[in-house]
Amino acid sequence: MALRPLQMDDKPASAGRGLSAHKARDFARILMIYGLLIGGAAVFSIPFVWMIGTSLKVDREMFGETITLLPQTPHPADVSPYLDKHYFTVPRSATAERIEPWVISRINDLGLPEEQRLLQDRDIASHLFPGVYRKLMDIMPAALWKLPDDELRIEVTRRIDETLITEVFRAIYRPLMLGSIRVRSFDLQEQEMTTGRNLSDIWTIEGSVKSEIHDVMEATGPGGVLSYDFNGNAKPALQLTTTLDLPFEADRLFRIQLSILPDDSWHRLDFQFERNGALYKSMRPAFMGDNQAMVVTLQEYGPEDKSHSGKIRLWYACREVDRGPEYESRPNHVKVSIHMSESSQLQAWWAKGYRNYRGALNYIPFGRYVATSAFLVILNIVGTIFSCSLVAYAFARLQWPGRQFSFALMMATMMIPPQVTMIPYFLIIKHLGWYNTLNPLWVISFFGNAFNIFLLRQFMKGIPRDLEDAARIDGCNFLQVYWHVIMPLIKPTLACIAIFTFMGVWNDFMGPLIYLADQPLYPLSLGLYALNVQEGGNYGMMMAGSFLMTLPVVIIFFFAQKYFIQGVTLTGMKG
Amino acid sequence: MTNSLKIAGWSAVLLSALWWLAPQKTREIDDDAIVIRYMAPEGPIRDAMEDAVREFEFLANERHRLDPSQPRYRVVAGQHASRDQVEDPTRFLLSLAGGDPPDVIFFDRFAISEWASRGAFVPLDSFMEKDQIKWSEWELGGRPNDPLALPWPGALAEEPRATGAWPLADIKPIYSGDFFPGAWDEIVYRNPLTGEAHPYGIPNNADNRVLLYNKDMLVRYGFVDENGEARPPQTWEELEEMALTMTERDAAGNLQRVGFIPNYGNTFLYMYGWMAGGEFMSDDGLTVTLNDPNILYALDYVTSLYDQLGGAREVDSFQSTFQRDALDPFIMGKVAMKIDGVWVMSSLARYGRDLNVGAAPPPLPKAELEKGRHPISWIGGWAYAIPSTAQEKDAAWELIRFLSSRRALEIMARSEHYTYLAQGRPFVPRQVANREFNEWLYQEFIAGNPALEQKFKDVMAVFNDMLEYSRCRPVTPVGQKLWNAQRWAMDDAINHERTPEGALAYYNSSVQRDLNMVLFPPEGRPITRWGWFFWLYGIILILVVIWIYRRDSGMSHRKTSGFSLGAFFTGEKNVHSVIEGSKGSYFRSQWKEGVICALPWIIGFIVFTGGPMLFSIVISFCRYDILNPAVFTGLDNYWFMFTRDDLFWKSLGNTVFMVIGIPLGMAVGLGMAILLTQKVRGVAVWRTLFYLPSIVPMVAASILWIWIFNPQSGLLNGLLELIGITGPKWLQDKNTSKWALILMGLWTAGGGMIIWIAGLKGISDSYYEAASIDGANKWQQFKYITIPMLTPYIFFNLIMGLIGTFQIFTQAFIMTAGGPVNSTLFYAYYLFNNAFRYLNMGYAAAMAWFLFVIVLILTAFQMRLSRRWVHYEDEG
Repeated sequence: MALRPLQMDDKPASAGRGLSAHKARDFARILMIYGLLIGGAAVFSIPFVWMIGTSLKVDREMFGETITLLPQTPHPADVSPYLDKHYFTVPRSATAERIEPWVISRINDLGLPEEQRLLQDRDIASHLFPGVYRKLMDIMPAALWKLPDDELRIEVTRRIDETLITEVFRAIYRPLMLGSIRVRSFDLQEQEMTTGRNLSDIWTIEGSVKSEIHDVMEATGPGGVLSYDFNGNAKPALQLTTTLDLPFEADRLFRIQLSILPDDSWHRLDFQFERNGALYKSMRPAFMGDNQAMVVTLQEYGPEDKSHSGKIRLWYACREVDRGPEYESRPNHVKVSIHMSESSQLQAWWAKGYRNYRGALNYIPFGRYVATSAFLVILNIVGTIFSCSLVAYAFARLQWPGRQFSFALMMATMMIPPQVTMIPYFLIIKHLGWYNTLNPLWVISFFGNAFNIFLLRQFMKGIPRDLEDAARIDGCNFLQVYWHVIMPLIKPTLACIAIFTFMGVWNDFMGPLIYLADQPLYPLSLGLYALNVQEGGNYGMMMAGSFLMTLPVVIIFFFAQKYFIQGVTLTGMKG
Repeated sequence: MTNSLKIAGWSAVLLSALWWLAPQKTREIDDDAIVIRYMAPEGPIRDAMEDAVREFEFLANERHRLDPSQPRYRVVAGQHASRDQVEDPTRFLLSLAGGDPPDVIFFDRFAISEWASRGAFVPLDSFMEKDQIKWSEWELGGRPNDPLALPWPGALAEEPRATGAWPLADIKPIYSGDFFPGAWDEIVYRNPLTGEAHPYGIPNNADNRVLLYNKDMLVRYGFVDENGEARPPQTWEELEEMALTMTERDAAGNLQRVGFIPNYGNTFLYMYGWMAGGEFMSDDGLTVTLNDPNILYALDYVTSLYDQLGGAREVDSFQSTFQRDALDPFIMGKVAMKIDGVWVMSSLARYGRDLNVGAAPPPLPKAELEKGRHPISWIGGWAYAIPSTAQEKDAAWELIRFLSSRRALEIMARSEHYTYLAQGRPFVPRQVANREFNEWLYQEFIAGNPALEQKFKDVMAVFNDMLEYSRCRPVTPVGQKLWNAQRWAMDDAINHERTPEGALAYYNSSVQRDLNMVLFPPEGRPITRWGWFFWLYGIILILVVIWIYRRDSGMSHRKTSGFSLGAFFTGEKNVHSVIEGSKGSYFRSQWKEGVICALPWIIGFIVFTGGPMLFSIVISFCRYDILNPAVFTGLDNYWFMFTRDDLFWKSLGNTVFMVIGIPLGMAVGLGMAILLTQKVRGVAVWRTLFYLPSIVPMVAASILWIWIFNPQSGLLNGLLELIGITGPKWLQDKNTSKWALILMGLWTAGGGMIIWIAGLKGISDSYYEAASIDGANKWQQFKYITIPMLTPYIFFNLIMGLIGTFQIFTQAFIMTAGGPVNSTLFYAYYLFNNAFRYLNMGYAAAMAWFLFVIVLILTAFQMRLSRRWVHYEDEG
């Protein structure tokens, strides 16, 4: 950041002093100001940075020995299956160096789990070492580490057995595995298409990439590990295709479910299917991040996608993109293809960042909730600004019977904790027929709000009376005075009030919770709550949701703050 | 002209935006369908529930088709969104008070008895019996092929409606014997006076606790059996020894790893008390027995274990974590053993893939084990209940019966399973209270799930084995109070606020007193009609108007220089201006104007605010639990508040302490505002950055703050360490917890900053120009121009800070729950507890009005003083 040139603040008072001293003092002052600004900004933006950082993380980054503010870099792999070298931190201690050769020779003696045959990487033992080392740190008493070499070697070797190696191996082994395929009709007829068949017989591979499906009987049941090698390809891509013989008519097809265990390569998958001579393509891609079993559901774009229902959108909507004789058109047949393409480092970053946001947006009808919130915000701001400024004018400027008493009463309303007036207030709302409508959430703002009235009154009392008297003498009535004299002068405070109102309404949780019953009426603050309650926690998604909720406020504040400096036109009015 | 065009244009834009944004209610209504409203939690469970509900509607439709006299149903699963109606039952209570409750509510079993004792729920035994009779008649009658003979829709295991789908189970009647004893006992409330007992809910899910341990750590410290496998402790004595052996400290003496922390996980004094053979309530339900010698033994054990680990403060700060699930120190291998509930399985399966976890029944004291007792656990969970003012009780029961069936469970479990898999997360179903269904769930989704590692299956099996031996919390009308009492007793004992014996005796008597209040309520007149209230309100309003008019218009010839609350309050010199004004036509003409301008507020007050305020005054003289008519008890609430309630004074003290934050917050806010009104580049960016903390939602921010305040790995103490200070324990220490919250408040001072900026920008540059021509330096300008000109704002912030401070609530609610040792039990939080958790609205109202008086006096004082120092331009 460039510092501001020094031409400012040429005060007449300092004109007499030496120019260089003046400059130095100004420079010091600017330095201090920027220092404070930068320091303050660092302190105050921590929560925001943290929120964004967390929203970009995958599950496994949320635990570990050290907590990092920022997410880890994704590592797109060219060859799969592979070993994840970043999963365990590579130890850099003298002890680790000491025992490394023993551990490696022990691993080689014991042999590796069966899955290793699919790996191209032959240096497996040394990749296993960090994990084994951490395991040893966990299970070996601290005293043993101080033993002399030969004794320590015995202790270490004794503790490394096949179970331990398998455990470490499984933790970092990253295969891309294809599992069962299920189809379901609109009449809830459901069938698994993979029963009793080999995955390698089901899928055919096309593409320039060297690839193969290896049938395995894994813990996850019958599966097929898809091995591929992207090296030596300019634009590596491959396509898996299968034709399914459905137990029902193809137009009764409701959804196709593919079980996939992604490797952690962050490569991109696109899906399509053909039936009745038409081609359907998935409207969003999937990325193979986070090595956790998942189900991809393909279904035709339909009413569920259009409606603003609160249903979590877990499926991949597919749209018809083409029609023609070249596509599968036999009755009872559907052809499914998975297209896989390589992600660059940048695309991998994007995929990782996109992950939790996509999740949050699928979880709730975000657009609908934002619209409702915006609706409430607009009405509340308009209502608050007009009613509060008008009432504050009455309190600050006009003489009328009961003014002091009313003011005291208004202050008193703020001093009663809302918990005890909630019930009768709710009854009033109910009798007005406003329960389960948005009315209680905005109509009230047209009757003024004690906090804002008080703030405006304070401000108005700071305005010299002469201005107003002049307007009166010119023949303005009280409304004209209010509109033409007072309103322009209180703009900065009104901007404050607008911001407060905006934030209050945008974040209000209790109000909608109490007065709304129907989900289509929810504003964002209440709707977002669905993200917070999933069992087992989903912090990435929760933070993504919070960030999306916060973002509009930040933007609005950024653009609104310039209004604070407007309307200061009192120059020369008094004194 | 152009101006009004501009305004018209903007209005048109605004209106069309509003029209476009307004939500439409899209709910088709079947005329003849009975609407059942259902209050349920949010999230994936809601999606699962909706799938099940669609099946219910389908079945009812089928029955209606065959027999049109049978109703059709439409289930509206709205009205949810409070995750936990027990933690915050505001939503539910309001709907009850408003006479518009849901027909079915999903409620924490633990609270069922408390609410049922006050008549909130319908007893369900008659529904159950009717079903059982119908079912046996039908089975004996043997007409299974006639659908009209079915006792209820879907009762017969029909042909699966589609081939390939899973076969759907019968919907059978509900028998109490089908449930685990601990789950059923919890929903049967027995009136201690009449001896009448009824079930008030149908248990649904369940959760119990076992000892989880890190096998690797046990192996490391040599706690192994003959095969070299980790061997978990069986007795308290073993547990203690293992806990201490496995605890490690770093060079600075900070805890690095801990073997076992008694209250980390989910045990509380309840579980230790039961393990030691204690009982918290007498069998007849009339006496609270928190001071049972066995419970004392348990509390002594827990206290001594904490002391040996280095004291509760140190241990608590070690266990306070960044994030609840993910950074669980147990998952990270920093705690070797814990007793925790089955809900951790979900995050264990997700985050704990590297953890070598095992499970065992919770240990017992050696002496108890030698008596031949089986290890025990503690079961909790939720239940379906029907509010007593629900409109569609029979329909509600049909829905409950369906939701309690295995068919509904299957549909929901599969739906949830799918949700988890689609998100790429492992699915571990919760336990359910029905024995048979629980076994089915286990076989289907845990034992039969090849993707789940064997270690998790083993752990889950231990959880399930313990279900038969799990107890529930005491069933009593003061369940919430007793719960708090046993928590506070443990808190006090381990922090050495009181001796274990003293703590138990103290809290025992306080809960007993509440129980007596409920069982033997003081005599009083119930208020059943409220017509007079509106008359009273109307009369008061009229009297006030007359009084004001007479006083302010000078019609009364009373001397006006005497005390006047209004004048006192506004801080204006006196009422003379008004009196004088009444004489001059210029001022008299302002009367109409003033009233017109103030009209929005006046109407708003009369319609929305005045009535509720008067109501709360009336209620403060009553015993009122919201569920029953208020009973007039005179000054009882106030008397109790001032003479008997220690927590009332404690909460008041805590709240007054927070007043320190007001000047600090003002100074920081003003400092920021001055900084941000300097001529610097990119001022918009700086202002936005400084404002950020006020924007971040509280729930997200509180997670962050718990981490920042973490005494060991937290940011704050990390920074303090850099300058060589060992930071305090912040939120875990009763001496610093309030300071931590004040600090947190300072950090959001950016919220007040914008008022200061507006104020600073309101000061005309001409003053500064004049002053600098006169040779005033910056400091003098600040002192003689800025500060005086800002006094209206200082005054505003002072008053609002005072009012806000006395109502501090959210921090305590979200972050500290009032702890440690009630050091953050703030007035408004205690008031909320009384109003909505202890069902003591009358008392809460009395508290509110006492608070009102304090704040009013303080504010009026400020207003009075303000004449001396607040400078208003219009007064010259």
